Amino acid sequence: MTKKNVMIVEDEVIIALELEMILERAGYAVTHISYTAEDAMKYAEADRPDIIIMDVMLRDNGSGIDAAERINGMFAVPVLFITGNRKLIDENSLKNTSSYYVMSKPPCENDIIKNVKMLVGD
Amino acid sequence: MRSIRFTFILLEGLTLAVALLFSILLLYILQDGIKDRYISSHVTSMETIEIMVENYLDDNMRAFKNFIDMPDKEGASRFIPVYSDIYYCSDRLHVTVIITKEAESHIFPGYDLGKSNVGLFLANMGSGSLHHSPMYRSPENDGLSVYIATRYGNGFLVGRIGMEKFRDYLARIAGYANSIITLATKDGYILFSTDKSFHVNMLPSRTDQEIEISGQKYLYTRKHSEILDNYIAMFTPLSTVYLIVRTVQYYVIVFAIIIFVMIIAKITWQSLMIMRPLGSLGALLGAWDLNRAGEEVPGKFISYDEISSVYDIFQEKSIQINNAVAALRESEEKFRTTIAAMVDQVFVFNGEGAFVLCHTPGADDAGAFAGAVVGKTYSEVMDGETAQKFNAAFDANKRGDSSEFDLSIEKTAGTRWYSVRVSPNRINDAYGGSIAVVRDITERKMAEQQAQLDLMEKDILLKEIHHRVKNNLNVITSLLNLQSDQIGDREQAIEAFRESRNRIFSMALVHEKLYQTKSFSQVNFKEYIEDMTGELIHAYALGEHVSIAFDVEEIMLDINVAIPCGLILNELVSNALKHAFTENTPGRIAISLKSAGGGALELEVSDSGKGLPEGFAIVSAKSLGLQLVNLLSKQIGGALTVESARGAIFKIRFAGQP
Repeated sequence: MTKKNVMIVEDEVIIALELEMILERAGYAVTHISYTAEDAMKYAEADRPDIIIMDVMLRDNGSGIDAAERINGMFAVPVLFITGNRKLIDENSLKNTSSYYVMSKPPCENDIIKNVKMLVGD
Repeated sequence: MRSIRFTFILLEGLTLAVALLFSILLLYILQDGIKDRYISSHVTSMETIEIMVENYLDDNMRAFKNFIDMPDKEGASRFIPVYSDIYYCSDRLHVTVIITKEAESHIFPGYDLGKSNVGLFLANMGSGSLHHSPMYRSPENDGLSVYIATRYGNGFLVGRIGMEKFRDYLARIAGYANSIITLATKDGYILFSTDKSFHVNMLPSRTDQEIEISGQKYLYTRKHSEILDNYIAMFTPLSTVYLIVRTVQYYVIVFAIIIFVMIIAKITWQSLMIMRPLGSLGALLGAWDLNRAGEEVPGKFISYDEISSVYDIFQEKSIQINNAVAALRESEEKFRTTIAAMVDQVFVFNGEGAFVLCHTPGADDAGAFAGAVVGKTYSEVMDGETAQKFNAAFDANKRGDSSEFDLSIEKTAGTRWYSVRVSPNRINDAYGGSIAVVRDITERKMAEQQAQLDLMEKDILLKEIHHRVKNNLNVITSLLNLQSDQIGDREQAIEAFRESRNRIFSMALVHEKLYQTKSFSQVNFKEYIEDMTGELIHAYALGEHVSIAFDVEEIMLDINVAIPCGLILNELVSNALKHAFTENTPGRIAISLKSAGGGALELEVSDSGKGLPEGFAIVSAKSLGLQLVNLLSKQIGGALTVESARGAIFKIRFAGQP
C-alpha cells in the first residue's frame, strides 16, 4: 500500500512542524508545507495531494476557505480545516469543496488521524 | 392729518366767505330797497304835488275872490300876476270886456268861447260863487291853462292861469328827486314835461314800475289828479337809482376789503401768538430729555396758560417715566446679570419667535452673533431641522409645557452637540415668548461616541486576542508535542521542560509587553530583548563570566512578527548559553537589532565561543531549537545566514512590518 500524500497549509511553522510529525508517524507522506494560500495553490496543482490540512486564517489576510475552494475548482480533494474560531467558516461558501471536516485549535492528535483517515477513506 | 394752522385758515376763510356773501346779499337787498324806496317816494311826491297844486289853486282862487270884490278891476289885476288873462264874457259866451291879457293871448272883445273847452266849462258851471276848470289847452295860446270863473251879472268873470309858471314850480320839485314829472290828459297825451329833452307824447299804457323808453330805463309812477282831471306821472332814470346803488356797492366793497384785511391780520396774529409758541413747544418736547424733568417752565411759555400746563404735564409724566425706566433698568440689569452669569447659552424669544436676547458665553463672535440675530425670527436664523425642533418646542410652550431635545449643528470645526430646554415665558398669565437654555454637550457626546468606538475596537481586539490565544496555545501544544519526541532519559526530560518553559516564557513576554501598549498589537522589542536575555541568563544560572552586549535600536514590532522573533532569539541565545562557552572562561554574547534600509531589519546574535562544528548546515540541524530558528525565520519571510569564525554569528534580515 502506497502512502497517501498530505499537504499542510499552516502559517504557524511550529504547528505545521507538529502536524507533519503526527502525520508521518501515522504513515502519511507530507509532500509540502505551505505558509501562504498562494504557495498552497501552486504546489497543490503540481503535487495532487490526497488530502489537505488547511488553517483557516492565513497570513497576509489569506483565507483557507478561499484556497480550498480554488483548489477544489481544479481537482477534487478532501480538506481538513483547523481553525481557532469555528465561526469563521461559512459553510454556504463551500461550493466546490464537497468533502471536508472542521477541527478547533489546538487539535488532539488522535482526532487529526481519525479525521484524515475518514476523509481519505482509509 | 389736520394742522391747527390749516384749521385756522379754513375757519377764517369761511368767515370771510360768509362776510362776502352777506355783503353781496346786502347789496342786492339794498338795490331792491332803493328801488322800492324810489317808487314809494314817487307816490308820496305825487300826492305832495297834488296837494301843492290844490293849494296853489286854492290860494289863487281866494285871490280871485278878493279880486271880484274889487271896484277897480284893472288896477287890482296887478296884484294877481299869476292870472294871464282876466275878462268878462256874456251869456252867449262872447268875450265882452278884457281886464288884462298876456301879449301872446289871442282873445279880443267879441271872441267866441262857445266851441272851446272853456265854453263847455262855463256853460256847464253851476251856480255858486267860484269854480275852477280842469287843466286843458286853452284856445287863447295853445298853452295849458286852468280857468277860474264866477257868474257875474248875466255873464261870467273868467281868469286864466297859464301853466308856464306852474311848470317851473313842478320842475323845482322834480329837480329835488332827479326825476321828470309830466302832466297828461285822461287819454294819456302828455301835456308837458319838466324836462324839455324828454320827448314822449304818450304816457305808457302799462303801469309797470320799470319801463324802457328809447333805450333808457326809468322807474315810473302815475296818478290821476282830481283837481286837474289829468294824470300826473313821474319818471326817474334807473341810472339815478344805480348811482346810489353804486355808491352803496362801493361802500360794501370797502367793507369787504376791510373784513378781508382784518381776517388776514387775524390769521397772521394767530400764527404769531399761538402757532409760534406751539411750534417752539413742539421743538422743545422733540428734544426732550427725560433727565430734564423738574425744570421750570421756560420764560417764553409762562404767559401761555395752556402751553405751560402742557409743559407741566410733560414734566410730571417725565418724572413718572423716569421712575418707571429706573425700575425697569434695575429689573433688566438683574435679569442681564443673571443671564450673563450662566454658563449655558440662553436665547430669549418673543411671542412671534423672534430673538430678543442672545447669551453665548465663550463664543468668539458672541457680540457679532447677537447683533446679527436679535430681531430676526428663529426660522430666518435656523436651518430646517433645527427650526422644526424649535417650532415644535414653541407649540408645546404655547400649551404651557416645556420642551427638551438634543441638537447637532455642523460647524467648520466639526459637529457640535447641544442639549436644549425651551420653557414658556409667561407674561400677564399668557404666552409671551420662550426662553431656550442651550448646553453644549459636545464633549459628552464625543466621549460617548469615543466610548462606543472604543467598545467596538475592544470587541474586535477581544476576538483577535481570543484567536491569538488559541493559536498560541496550539503553538505551545505543538512545541510540547515536538519536544516530547526527543525525550530519552531523565536528564533530557529535565532539559526539555526547561527549554519548553523558556519558549513559553518568550511567548508570554511578548504578551506582557503587548499589554503596555494602547493598541495591543505592538511590542517594544528593545525592552523585550533586554528582559528576555536577562531571564535566560537567570534560567541557565550562569555566573558573571558571560556578558551580554546590546546594540539595539528602539524598534516596535507587530505581534505577528514579535512572537516568531522572540522564539528565534530565545533559541539562539539559549543555544549560545548552552554550547558556546566552556565552563569558567569569560564569554560574550552580542545582540543587535538595526534598521537595514528599505524598511528591513537585521537581527544578529553572535558569541565569542568556540564556534559551530565543522560542516554545520542549519537546514539539516538535528536540534529542534535550530530547526525552529530556520522555520521561524521563513515564517517571518526572513533570510538567515550563519557564519562561524571566532564564534557563531546568526543573522536574519526580515521585513519590519508584516
